[in-house]
Amino acid sequence: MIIIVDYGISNIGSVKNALDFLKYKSKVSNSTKEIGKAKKIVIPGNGNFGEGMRLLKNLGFINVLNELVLEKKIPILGICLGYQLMFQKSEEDPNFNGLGWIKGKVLKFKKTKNHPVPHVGWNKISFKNMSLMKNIPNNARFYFDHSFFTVVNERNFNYGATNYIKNFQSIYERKNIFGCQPHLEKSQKFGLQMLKNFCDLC
Amino acid sequence: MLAKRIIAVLTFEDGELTRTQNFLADYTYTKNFINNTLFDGIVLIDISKSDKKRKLFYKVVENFAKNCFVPICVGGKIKTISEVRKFQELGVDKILINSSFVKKEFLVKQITKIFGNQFLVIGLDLKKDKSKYQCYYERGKKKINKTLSEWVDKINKFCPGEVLVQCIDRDGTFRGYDLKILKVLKKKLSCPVIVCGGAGKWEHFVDAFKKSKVDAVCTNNIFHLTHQSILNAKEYCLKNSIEIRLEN
Repeated sequence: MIIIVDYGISNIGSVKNALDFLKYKSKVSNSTKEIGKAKKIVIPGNGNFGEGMRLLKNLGFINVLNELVLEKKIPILGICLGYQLMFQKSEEDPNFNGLGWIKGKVLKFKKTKNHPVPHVGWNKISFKNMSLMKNIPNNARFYFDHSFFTVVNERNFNYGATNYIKNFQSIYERKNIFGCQPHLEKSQKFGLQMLKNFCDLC
Repeated sequence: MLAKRIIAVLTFEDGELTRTQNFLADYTYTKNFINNTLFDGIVLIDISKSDKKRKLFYKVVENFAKNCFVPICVGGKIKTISEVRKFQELGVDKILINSSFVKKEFLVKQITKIFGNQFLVIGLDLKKDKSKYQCYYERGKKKINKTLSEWVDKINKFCPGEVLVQCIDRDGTFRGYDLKILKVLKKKLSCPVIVCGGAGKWEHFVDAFKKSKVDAVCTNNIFHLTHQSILNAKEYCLKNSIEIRLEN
């Protein structure tokens, strides 16, 4: 069973709709007991970094997620804010530490004359050999909506890159940890394919 | 490069699809008519006169969210955080706020604090009054007691995810968007700008992208809402060197 973690502020509905459409069994849950039994986890996006971490902490999710991801090593996918929460820090709220599974930080875009902030719309991802991107052409477009971007400070990881003001790692994978900045659940055919690729991982 | 977007705007009265004010309501079309695959987003607005049949609108939103895997923005009559959360649970990605931005600033602050700034789309409804532009709320019925420039400054302070500019007097005219004011707004607003009201031909989309540099255009013209016509529109944009999403 794929568990969609409901921490109170994210677009659980969109992710659930997409998984239902793809005919994968999933459940939206805010119970630590249920989350603890998950075979796969999705942390959806939308929301503020500080508020997200505060809620994960208050709901008692941090320990159970750490155990699943770091000890049991079950596959986990973070989408948008769900991806950013996996980092150590974010400029969106310096008062909160992130989950820290990915070494690095999340920074704010600085707008330019031709680049408003947030980065909203369909942009390209270039990548090489990623399990999340099976059956997806290089430079396919996905739907982005964010004001903060990730800076990974690690060596052995796979990533896909997107350019908006800067080049940033729009998708990330290392062992059982998967993250993506675009909203797969709202990125039509290729987004659904990416979600399917995650669901089909062993 | 980031693609320019073409977005469908659909208005509903008591759960039924309508046309905008310069047209009579047309109930022959239902929620199922839209082939969404090439649209880059959908905006659903409840324009019902009372809240009595609000449930029907929720049902419309639910149906779209279950079948459309592009971003969905919902607007009209939103007054509480619990409603916003409910829409999010149904699969909505953004909330369009206009009247509540005038009357319930606190709600707007709460939305950005809880759901993030990208979740908020501010509706900017404009009418040209002689040579001056005036901002409106309550579906174009009430004037906002501020100059356009003051109002834009206020919008910028809230850092919304996007601003949806609706040129009320262009709506349904097919004369094209008001390029002059869009150009000014595009310069002043720090977030992406979407425009609605006035598109009659594909050339109008290209003009809005090229001359006013807007980030997205909307159409609520029923004849644009088919797969073939949206494909034609996008191919026309591409031919005119506009970066656009064609694969789907």
